[in-house]
Amino acid sequence: MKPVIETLFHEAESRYLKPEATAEVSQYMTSLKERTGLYRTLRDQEIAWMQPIADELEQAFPAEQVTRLENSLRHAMLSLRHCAMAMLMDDPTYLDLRFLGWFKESMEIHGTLEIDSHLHTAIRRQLSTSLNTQQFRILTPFLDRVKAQFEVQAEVNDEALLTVAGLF
Amino acid sequence: MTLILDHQTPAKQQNAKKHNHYSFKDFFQFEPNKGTIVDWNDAQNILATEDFIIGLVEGLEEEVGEASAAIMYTIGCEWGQKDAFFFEKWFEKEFDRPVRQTSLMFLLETWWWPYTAQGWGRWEVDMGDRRQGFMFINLFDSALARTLGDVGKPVCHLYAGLFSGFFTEMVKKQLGCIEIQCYSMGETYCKFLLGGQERIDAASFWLNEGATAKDIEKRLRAGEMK
Amino acid sequence: MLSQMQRLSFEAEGRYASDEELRFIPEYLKTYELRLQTYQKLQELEQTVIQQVQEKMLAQDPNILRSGNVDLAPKWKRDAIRTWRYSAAALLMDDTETLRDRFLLWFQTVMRAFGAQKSCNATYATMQEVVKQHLTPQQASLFLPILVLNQRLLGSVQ
Repeated sequence: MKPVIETLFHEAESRYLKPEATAEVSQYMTSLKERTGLYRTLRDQEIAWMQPIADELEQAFPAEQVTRLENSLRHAMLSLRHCAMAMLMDDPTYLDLRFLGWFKESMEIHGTLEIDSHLHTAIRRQLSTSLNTQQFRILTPFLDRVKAQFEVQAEVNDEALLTVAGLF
Repeated sequence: MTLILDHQTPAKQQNAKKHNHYSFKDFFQFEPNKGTIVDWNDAQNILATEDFIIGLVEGLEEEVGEASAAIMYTIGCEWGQKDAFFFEKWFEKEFDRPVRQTSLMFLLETWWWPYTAQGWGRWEVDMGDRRQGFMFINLFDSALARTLGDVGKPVCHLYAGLFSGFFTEMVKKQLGCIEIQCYSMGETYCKFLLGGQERIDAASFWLNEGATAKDIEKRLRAGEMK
Repeated sequence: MLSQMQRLSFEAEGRYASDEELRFIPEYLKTYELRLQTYQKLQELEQTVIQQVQEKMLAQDPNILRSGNVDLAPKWKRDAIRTWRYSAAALLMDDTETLRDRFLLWFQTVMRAFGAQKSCNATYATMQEVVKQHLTPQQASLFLPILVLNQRLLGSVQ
């Protein structure tokens, strides 16, 4: 949950909300209707938007096992669902704690960086055309956090992480 | 490898002396990267499921049969004794006051709060008979009893031991404890008698004869010893 | 609101929440302005209300804040302020669950340890009367249930 709201109860006995904090809370509340709307849109359009991406995935990676592609597709949907919730709460740490840590390790272990990165790019493209500017702007910080995982990964070329699955 | 346990949730960083810190999110610090769960008093915690409790109890019964109750009690005693030392340290740190100069009821409620936060259940201490040398503890939502369900016999030996060990150490008198009523016997909550060994023996004897908790309370208050 | 959102983020993890599950959000937003206004009013009223509650209680029972020779008024005041502020936060967030978890359940055991249930009962009953004189009916409708909860949890004699 949005930090300024989480800490409201921590500090409650010592102080009331300062004007800046109040402004921050009010701003969030004002945006909440829009966020809820966006959340519903992401939910309702999930299948419609993911389908074409799923369809072209096999063409993009003809040599890949179908099960690996399916797993990555599932993870891509998961990442978007987590982004949606984090966006609803305006809380990036939710995304970090509940998803990105695990996702990063999963990519390392299974060697799916290329597939996952490709999927993320495709989803981003889809969203940038399907959402209006305002909506895409609200979601972008969270998408960026996911994207950052691929960049960190690409730098790590550690053969200690190589498994049989990721050998060739 | 030494693990340094240091609880640093936002709540504690903001005010380490805040006394009401027992909600789940405040009391426990989860560190997925280190694989630790550290509580407010810098103690290591682990999460155990009901399967663990069942495995522990039934496994022990399989190994030593009837003696499992006594073993659980003994384990509880050691635990309670060790915890008394641990408690004294963190209490004095948090309240800037020696335990022996603190209101007893407040001290006890403070001791028990971490247990509540950890899922051991809520309690109520009945000091009404303390001048006669005994007291009662009511326990709600015993982790053991709730897990094992209605099995027709008392099961909270670990708790009885815990109370015995802790109070013995705090009061500096040998005190025993026995469960006289249990959720696992179909009651709505568990009740423990804490007192000198003769009272515990008397209660044990009466229990074997089929006395209820109410009978035992009545007899003890009437001054009966056997 | 806070605990509802936290619970949602946990229960709906890995999937999307249904409209029913999201319903608490628009419901809360309907009352947000009123809650913020009331919260700020409670901040203004803190000193006045606590003072008036103390006077009213002592008028009804001069010994209610004494224990033998000990004057409990300063401690009572600190506790009353603390509870008032937590209650205000709960009102702003429409979150009595967090109020219970983070404060009332613990404070209840402390009050019980010191045998203070009777004075708590009087405190929060009196506070309801006093608050009605200072808040509009709309504002009161949001805050009074919280005071009732305080009275019930802190004042119940067993």
